[in-house]
Amino acid sequence: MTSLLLLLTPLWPLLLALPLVLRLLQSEPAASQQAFNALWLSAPLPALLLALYLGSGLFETAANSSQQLLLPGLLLGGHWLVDEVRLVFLLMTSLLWLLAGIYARGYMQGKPAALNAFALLWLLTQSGNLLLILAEDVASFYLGFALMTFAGYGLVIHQRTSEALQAGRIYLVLAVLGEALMLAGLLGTTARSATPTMSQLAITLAEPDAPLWLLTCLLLGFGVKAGLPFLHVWLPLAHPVAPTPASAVLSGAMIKAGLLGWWLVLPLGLTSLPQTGHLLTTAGLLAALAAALIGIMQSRAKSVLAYSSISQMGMITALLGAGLADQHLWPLLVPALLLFVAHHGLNKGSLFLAVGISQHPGRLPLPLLVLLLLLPALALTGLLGSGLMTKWEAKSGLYQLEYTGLINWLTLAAAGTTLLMARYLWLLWQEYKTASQPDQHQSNPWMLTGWLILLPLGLLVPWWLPLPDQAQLLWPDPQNFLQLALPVMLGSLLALAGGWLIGRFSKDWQSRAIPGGDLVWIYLSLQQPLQHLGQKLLSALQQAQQQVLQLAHSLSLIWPLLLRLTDRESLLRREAALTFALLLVVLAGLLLL
Amino acid sequence: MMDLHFWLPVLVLFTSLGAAAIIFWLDENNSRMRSSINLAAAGIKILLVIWILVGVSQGEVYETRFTLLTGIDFVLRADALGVMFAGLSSLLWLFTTLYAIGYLEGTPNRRRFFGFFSLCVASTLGIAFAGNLFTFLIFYELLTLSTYPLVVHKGTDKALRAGRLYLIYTLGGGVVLLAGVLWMHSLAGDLSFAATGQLDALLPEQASTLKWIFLLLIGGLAVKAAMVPLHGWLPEAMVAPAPVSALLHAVAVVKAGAFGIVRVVYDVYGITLSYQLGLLLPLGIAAAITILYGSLRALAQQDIKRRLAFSTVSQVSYIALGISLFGPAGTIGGLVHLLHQGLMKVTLFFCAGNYAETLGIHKIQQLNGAGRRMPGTSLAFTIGALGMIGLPPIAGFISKWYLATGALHADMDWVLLVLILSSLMNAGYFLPLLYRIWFCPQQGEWPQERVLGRWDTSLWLLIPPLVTASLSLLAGLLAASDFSPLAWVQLVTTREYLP
Repeated sequence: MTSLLLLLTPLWPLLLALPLVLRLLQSEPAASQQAFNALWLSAPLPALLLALYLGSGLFETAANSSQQLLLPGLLLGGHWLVDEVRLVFLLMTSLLWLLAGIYARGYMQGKPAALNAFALLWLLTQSGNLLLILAEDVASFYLGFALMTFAGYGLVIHQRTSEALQAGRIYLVLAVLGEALMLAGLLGTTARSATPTMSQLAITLAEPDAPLWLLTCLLLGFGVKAGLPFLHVWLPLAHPVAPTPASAVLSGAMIKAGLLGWWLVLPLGLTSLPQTGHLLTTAGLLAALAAALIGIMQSRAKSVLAYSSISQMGMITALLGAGLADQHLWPLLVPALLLFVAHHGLNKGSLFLAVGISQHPGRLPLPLLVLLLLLPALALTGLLGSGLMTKWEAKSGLYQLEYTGLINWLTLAAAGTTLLMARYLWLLWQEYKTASQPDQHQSNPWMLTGWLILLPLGLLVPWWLPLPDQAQLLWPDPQNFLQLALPVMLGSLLALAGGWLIGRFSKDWQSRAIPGGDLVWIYLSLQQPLQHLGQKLLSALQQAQQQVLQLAHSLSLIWPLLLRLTDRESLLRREAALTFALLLVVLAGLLLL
Repeated sequence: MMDLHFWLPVLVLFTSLGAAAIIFWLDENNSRMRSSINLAAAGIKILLVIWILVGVSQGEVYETRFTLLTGIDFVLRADALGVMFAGLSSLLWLFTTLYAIGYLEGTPNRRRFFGFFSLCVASTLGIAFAGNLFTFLIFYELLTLSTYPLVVHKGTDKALRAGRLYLIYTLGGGVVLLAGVLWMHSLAGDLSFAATGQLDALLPEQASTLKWIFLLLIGGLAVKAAMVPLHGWLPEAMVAPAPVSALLHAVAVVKAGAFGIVRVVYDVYGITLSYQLGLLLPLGIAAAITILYGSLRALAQQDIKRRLAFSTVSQVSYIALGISLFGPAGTIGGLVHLLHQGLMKVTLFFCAGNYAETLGIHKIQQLNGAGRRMPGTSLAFTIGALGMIGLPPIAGFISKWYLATGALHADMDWVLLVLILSSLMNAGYFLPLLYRIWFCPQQGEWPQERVLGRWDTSLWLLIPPLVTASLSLLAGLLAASDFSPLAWVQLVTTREYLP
């Protein structure tokens, strides 16, 4: 049963993709709603079933709760499994894909653009995302990662506007760079490992003589996906232009793939790497704070959410860095991080989906809509539900080993999150106002269904998420509640003050705001001189080659010589009989000797 | 002596030679008969090669040996390495023949074309089964001569110029190789290809002579293997018809050079001796330079076939690179790439030919929207291109995996950097093509559209790339199974390292 589900998890979406490929081959008209049928929706079900089956506690066979599947013929020997960590990722990812898929079915209705292509790429991206979660052998993992990344490109540029294409280009360049770094790290570490499995890589990297460049390659390679500062620029560009359900999975599930990569290969809990760990923490905090500052300047809700994702991933990165720096801290952080992953993935998903809902609110009564929009935002700030629990869990781990500095920074970052959420809600409100005046669109039942199921699931993560056995969830006691609410209050105050100041003094602040994608504009300005340099180098090489070619051609100077030889030859031809007679004599002489 | 074990290698050769003879004798217009003979010969040959393959895997020896002159034997011998190359050639010959029949439908001079085509494959098989340097040299030169009419097949000025350049390069290389072979013969006598340390006795007195001979042998072979700076003929030879380019790039000429290098390093010198003499590092550096230079040049090409040609320059040197990595993993990486690159590159050239034949597309800018018009071809092209970049689950990934592992095992970490840089550049010159094919809308009319059947193009042209693309996908996806190219290469490697 488990083996079958393991096999179907990445395979079922691929099987469903087959008819779409065939339709592509027959070059049928692409705009058909049929692509999004019930079968298409069922793509993540095997993964979800597997996660529920393993996570429900019904299944307790042996001491280890992990189940595996060996596929000896696949790639370089396939090895797929679900353990405690993967279980959380799998559950969160499959849920998000399922509900975003339901939402997408409604979202794509009446849209003219290439639906067949979208449906196909959706399945491929999903298959890759699920495979990389299960993969224990390095080749399968890389396959899943690459499939997800490259198929995801098609989702990003789905709308084919020039903005989408530009975002897609940046996405692709960084993705290829990330894949290359990751591949170097994976291959380099595998060559030093006994077996090509992910857990073995962590053991290899824990050895004291493991070269630093391997660790660097892996950190940066996965960092592209996880939104590490300086490598994050694709995120705020890709999210606003992608179709909303795609943004939801991109931000909820796919950027977690980078985190999972780190989680699996870094020697967390095996050894302490203080320098690397602190560096990672610093980078994470930088992302958390800077993204909040740049994010509040955005004027599109989805851009704000993208920056919020960078900021949240920055917090996770900071925690991960702390765990990397101190192997004793790591076990305390594991439940908090798992909770964080599921909490952020699902809530961010529902925040993205809400953007589409607020544009077409339909007949939802306003107070209910406001409440439903407010709840996940408040959860993300950490005021209630899953966010509160996540924060408490993380803090208590850090308190135990007296990481007060990190706690303070994270508190500041949480205040930033509050600012971002305030900005997001403000922008949603604007969109709602413009949309609801002539309510041209009915709210779509598919969109509403997807969103309304995802919303409570996200809010209630700690109450249903199967965490590792030994992890005990700590419930915050009421005295500490005030302390936990502090950053939210700080953020709210800042937001109010900021809103008032802007309204009062500066109407055209947006012209001075940092545009979405921030550093990318600096990168792009470097492109021209670099291209110029490359062209110069190429033309120099070409010239050198031309010279070699000319040298080769100068061999043809032998030609006149050859012609003269031909003249002489005519003599031989005229006296052919004599020539052959001579030849015979010579040959006979040779044989006799 | 006159049993099957003696005759089998000759028989394989004669299927192509016989086909060539009959085709030359047939009338130009008798295309049905010609195609039947071609396909029958290709089919028989595959069966024979499979027979040998099974035998060799069970430890059988197939050897044909004549003494030509005292001290010089003509030897055809099917060992694991030779069968590997023969298998690739006969498999791809079948698909290329199918493709060529469709491609040349209704054009003049098909008798000449198919005749020399068969001769060319016969020479390639001769190279695969050659049991010593002398036999190798004969077929190597024969290959040069039988390919020339194919390169200049169109008879245009440009084709003739390319053909002349091809002859200058390859005959020049042949002379250098000949010098190396003669010198080696004078030093060590008639050496059979064997993975034993047959030259060890000459050490240490003759070490420097052996180095010079190595330089001559590899220098001669490097011309066909298109290693920089001896690669100039390859991009020019692109004027040949698409099936010829496919054959040239995937199995025949370029691979003959690479295969020769494999033979010299493993079966003349022996990998251990090559390593002791310090010959592997320079070879590796030359290969690395070729890889990077080829990729860099490919980036700048605007013509599809020329871009593919420079990609070949780069990719074929992966084989030499793998050979230069001392250790089984490097060997596996190099040898398996010989097979994988063949499958993937033949696919790409078939597709380039299809675009040119069906839509008149030659330039990269013209590819916009081709995916919608020719989805089958484009799918095959995508698989080939992604495989070249080295993305799983396509065959190129497996090659790259073993090359990288081999590099690290041989303590040549810089090779990993070369591989990664090359992959980046591969992505840089293949992804824009895929982007244009799938994501850009068509702009205006196709340059020269022909409607050939209800599919993309005629089935003769469509099926070969689809099959080779599937094979390159399966070769990667099921690499660890018993029937993959990787499995055979592992067998070869075991025999090379444990003679």
